[in-house]
Amino acid sequence: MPTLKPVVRGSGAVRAEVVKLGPISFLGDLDPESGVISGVRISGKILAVPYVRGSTVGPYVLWHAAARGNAPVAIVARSVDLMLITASALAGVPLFQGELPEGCIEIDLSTGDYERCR
Amino acid sequence: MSYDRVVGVAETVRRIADAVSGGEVVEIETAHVSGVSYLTLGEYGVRFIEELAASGAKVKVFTTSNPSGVDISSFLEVSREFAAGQRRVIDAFLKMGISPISTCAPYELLRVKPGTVHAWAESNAITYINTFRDAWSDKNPGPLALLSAVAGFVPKTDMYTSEGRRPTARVHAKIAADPLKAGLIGAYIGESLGSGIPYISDLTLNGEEARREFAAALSTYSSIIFAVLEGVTPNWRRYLAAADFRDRITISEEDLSKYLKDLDNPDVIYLGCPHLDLETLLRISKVIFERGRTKRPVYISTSPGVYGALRELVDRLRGYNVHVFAGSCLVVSPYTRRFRVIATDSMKSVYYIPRLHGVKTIPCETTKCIDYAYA
Repeated sequence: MPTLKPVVRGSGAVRAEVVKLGPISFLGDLDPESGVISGVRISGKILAVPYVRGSTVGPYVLWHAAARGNAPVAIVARSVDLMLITASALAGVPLFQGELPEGCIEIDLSTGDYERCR
Repeated sequence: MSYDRVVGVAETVRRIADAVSGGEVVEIETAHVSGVSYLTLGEYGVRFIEELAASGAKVKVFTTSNPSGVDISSFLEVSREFAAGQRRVIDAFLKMGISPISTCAPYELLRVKPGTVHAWAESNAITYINTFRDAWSDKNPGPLALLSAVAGFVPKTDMYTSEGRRPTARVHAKIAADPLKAGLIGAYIGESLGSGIPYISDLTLNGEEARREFAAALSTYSSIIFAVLEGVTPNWRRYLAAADFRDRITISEEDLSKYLKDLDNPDVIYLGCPHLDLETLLRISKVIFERGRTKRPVYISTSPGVYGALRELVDRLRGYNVHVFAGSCLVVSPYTRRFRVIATDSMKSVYYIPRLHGVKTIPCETTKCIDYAYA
């Protein structure tokens, strides 16, 4: 089974669609009231990005999205930094390092093991 | 909106530690929070801070805060909505026990000692205490510094270990620097190395403001937050002995000229980013009183401490078209947007003001900046 490196672990497993985007800034790109980033709704999805850039207040925006029930179920990034880790921990969104294919996957939020939805 | 996760502050810091320091945390003596201005914090940041305060969270250690978007005497006029948003931030800080000192130079107030551990945000302040006090802080994002202040500990990242503080680059810079030049050197070293810990020899930083400008520029133009200055940084000999040099650079005065742009016509002069120290403010005042009323307005930001100590002087300077204000700065105040071109001796302002406000900046030596005011 392929696996991702867990950075901020969650618990249980989820089955969700992967939304692949370019580098994003939570502040400015994510509307926490709707869970939409550049026209794409990420609420309940797995957000896959190369990295997160921009303002250090970004964690507050992801927190707000989570409080509104609009956060992704997990974030997967090629490279992670302290800002993204802080955002994930603050918002309670599990964070993994690695890359994912598009489509639906089922992922174990504590180990990072995943497989395509059957 | 209720957010019960906010209660688990210590747990959140531990989760971050799991990701960045193998779960290890270290107790802190002080914290300094950034992300204070309503301009940079925004509505979501304010709501988080309000929720945290409402949950009963209190800071465990002495905690200071960065400049806000409104200065303490309300000299920089802002909209009613902005002022109300800023008030909510300050009220929540007070509720949590955070000192609303509103300065980016908390090191002026806190004489942090070598080897002590702190969770600071605000890159110039972190770099200043690492470099000039050998007091230890990593570059914590604003929200992490806040959570750490409440938890009383911070993830034990490399900057909180002797091993992680070993110099990685040897830098020769036989230069005597005033505040602008200190900023140019900081920017140049930052851009040349990008990351790591420079060990710098032969550099002379003339005065407190030069030290502040150096720290601010180095950390604005790179991810570097600690430099060892030969003969200056406490324990510099120990750092030299432990150094693991992978890069070597030599800087001359000519290298710094690339930052000096063609001169535009400034409509205002701005000094005091980071906040101007008492001694420099006295020196500048003397020049102003000798030369008379300026033709172009001069804005100077300082800490509330310096402002309070020099209140009479500040009032007198206003009659000379020189406006000293405290608790805010032109980087984080929306007031800045009424200007067209700002002449400043701060390389940090040169970087951020165009990006945050769309206003042009011209770097100038402090004395040249003052000459502009009379031109």
